[in-house]
Amino acid sequence: MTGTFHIEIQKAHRRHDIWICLLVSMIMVVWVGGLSPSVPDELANAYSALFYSIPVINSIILPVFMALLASRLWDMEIKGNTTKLLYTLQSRRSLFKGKVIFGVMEIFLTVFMEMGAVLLLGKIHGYTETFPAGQFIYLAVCTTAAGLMLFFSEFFIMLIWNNPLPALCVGIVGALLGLFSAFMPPIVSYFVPWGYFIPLSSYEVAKWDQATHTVTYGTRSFNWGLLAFTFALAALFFYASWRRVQKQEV
Amino acid sequence: MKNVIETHNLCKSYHGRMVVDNLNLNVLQGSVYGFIGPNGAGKSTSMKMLLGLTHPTSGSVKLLNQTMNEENRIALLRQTGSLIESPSGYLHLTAKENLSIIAELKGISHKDIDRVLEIVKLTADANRKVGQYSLGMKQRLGIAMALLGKPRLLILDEPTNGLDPAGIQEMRSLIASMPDRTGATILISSHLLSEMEQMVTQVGILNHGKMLFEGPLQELQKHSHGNIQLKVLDVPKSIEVLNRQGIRTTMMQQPNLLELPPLSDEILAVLVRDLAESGAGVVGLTTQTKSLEEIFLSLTQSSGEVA
Repeated sequence: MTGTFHIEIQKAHRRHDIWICLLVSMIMVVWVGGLSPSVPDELANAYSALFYSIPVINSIILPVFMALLASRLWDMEIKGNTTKLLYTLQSRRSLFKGKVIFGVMEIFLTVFMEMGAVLLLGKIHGYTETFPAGQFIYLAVCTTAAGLMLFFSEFFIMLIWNNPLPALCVGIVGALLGLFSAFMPPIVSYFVPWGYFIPLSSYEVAKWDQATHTVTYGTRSFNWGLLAFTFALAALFFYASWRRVQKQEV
Repeated sequence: MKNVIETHNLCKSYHGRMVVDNLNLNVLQGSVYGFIGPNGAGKSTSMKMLLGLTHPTSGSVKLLNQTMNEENRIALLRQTGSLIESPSGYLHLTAKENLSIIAELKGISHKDIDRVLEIVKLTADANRKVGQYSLGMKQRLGIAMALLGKPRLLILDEPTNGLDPAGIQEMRSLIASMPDRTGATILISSHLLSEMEQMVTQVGILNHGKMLFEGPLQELQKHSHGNIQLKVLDVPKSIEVLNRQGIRTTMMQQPNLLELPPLSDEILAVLVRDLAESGAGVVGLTTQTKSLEEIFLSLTQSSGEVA
């Protein structure tokens, strides 16, 4: 396993994929950092506001970023015309395993950096609200699950077309659909997987004071059913991708 | 001598269309085997089946004395170098980095990288990104990848594609010298018979997925003899000699040029002597070599399969 992963690391040399992973958290820091609370009332509600915003930001940027990561991972094999050579030196399973491990590591890194950015923002701006550890872990798990599902779906599209453009187009259109689904009745969002970050969120707007423009956030119960469905979708796309690699003639 | 590659009734069909039809290939150890056929004859598909890249519809492949299956395929192919269709290489990496990946996959020492770069004359460009390479350089890198680890068998699909004339000449010399230098057996495909004649010892001719001929190059060359063009000073005297010997003659459009049917070296020697003695004045004698298509035609017209 380390062998195939090590080879993928060698292939990733000069491709700057790590910067793409870092860019996600940097966008979040800039986006949320620009709206950072300053008054005591807001600071007392700051983690709730942040945890409400992150899934919205994720539903805008992660479908595109996951398409970017997934398509780049296979695109180098297409452009380099390498599969014909690789399949004489390693099994299809081994190549697929290397890609999967590398891709999953990129997702973990993206989520890890994003979660690190949450802690950093809380520290820098001096949030006074008690740190919601349970919600934090749930957010990390949900972001990972939706990230995996998007990654494997985009990887599958890349394998079908052998071209990064369809995967990127689906990512961009999916991001828009996902965001718009948040403004639709809740049932609609269940049919738009690109936006699953939002229905998976455990925060909601509890009260909106029109006079003072103050928002009070509240929590809602964890959406275990949708989380399980997201993992199941990720597994389905993973299996479809594997079958594609297994059966594809070069 | 043992066969390094053997196929038994290898078939491949796509949507009911037979692309490779009961192919029985026998490549002798230490030989340079030329796999010849026009574009679309089924050469690349056959080679892909030898490498397990394409699943045969029926038949079997024996590589290095072992019947290839899913269990032993990678182990067998690690002793094999291959270049199929166009060369492979990660464009964002240098030649050295590309070879390093292949060395790791083959499980061999990275020390071999400098040797193969030297062989294909890429040492000076080893640290340039492959994306900046010309097609010829990529082709040479593909050969270097195939040569890594001193494989026992090299399977090369049209390796001179994209090379300039000097590169083609270098590649021919390199391939022809491989059996002596490394003991490797080479299976090389091309659609150019003239190219193959300069480097192969054994030949297989494929057309419409069927093997039309398999055997030593000399055997094929018997089929490649075409008409003879004879340039003389005195045409009437020449025709008189030719008629006396019962050789059918055709007048060509150019003056003083006659066309004779294929003749054996012995008959030709006697004919030239008689023409000289008669005072016909032999100026030139050119033996036409049949094109691959003409050989195909003569092979198919004779018995369909010659071996």
